[in-house]
Amino acid sequence: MTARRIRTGRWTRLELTGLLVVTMYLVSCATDAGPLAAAQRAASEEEAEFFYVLKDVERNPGHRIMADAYCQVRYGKLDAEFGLSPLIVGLLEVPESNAAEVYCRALVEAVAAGELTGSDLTDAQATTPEGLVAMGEVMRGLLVAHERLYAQQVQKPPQAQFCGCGQ
Amino acid sequence: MVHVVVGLLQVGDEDATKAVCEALTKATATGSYSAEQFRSFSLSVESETSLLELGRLMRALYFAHILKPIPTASKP
Repeated sequence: MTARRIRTGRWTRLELTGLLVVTMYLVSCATDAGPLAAAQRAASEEEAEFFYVLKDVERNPGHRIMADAYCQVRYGKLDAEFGLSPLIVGLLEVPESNAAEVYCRALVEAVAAGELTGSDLTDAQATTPEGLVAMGEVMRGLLVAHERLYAQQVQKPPQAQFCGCGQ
Repeated sequence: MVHVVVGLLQVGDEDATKAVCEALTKATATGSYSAEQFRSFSLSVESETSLLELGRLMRALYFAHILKPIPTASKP
């Protein structure tokens, strides 16, 4: 697949509203840039960590449960800041309260299935035409993965859904 | 939006507009998307609502695009 980038909150604000950029600029002008820079660094480190978690799933699809958990901890704690929440609600037809959880499941499923890569997500944040193409591909990957997970869930007999034993 | 559609529907740049129009028409005809929703999307630029509407539109386009063409009445 082509290079694509998506970094949830930042992409949303930068690409669709520009609000964060303006806010950060104003804040950095009005206050000491130290704390802001530290926060940005921390966010960047978290994103790098998540990138490597996804890279691990690419190589080892069996690690998806860990990646899913990592993703949910990351976005769950930032629920109010999950910038893509409205997009996921519309794209996957899920309640807003479940957006981060569903996003993580679909994302990890897509990566484990080889339909998306960690690099794809990173690349999709570019505001270039290529980045927008990548964003479309990421949305496609999320849709496909989400529908597959839903179909699997529907096909499972109630007992299997409960105990996971397949009987 | 054309670039996003290229990635979403896996079509070439030159086919993107045609693909969007076909999918949008199909989605509207089958009732999975409405003119009101498209109007909301168009009017909700640069807001959180736009993300919601964008997601809905992309979903509708994707499913309409992958659907087989609606069969027409067979000729006598």
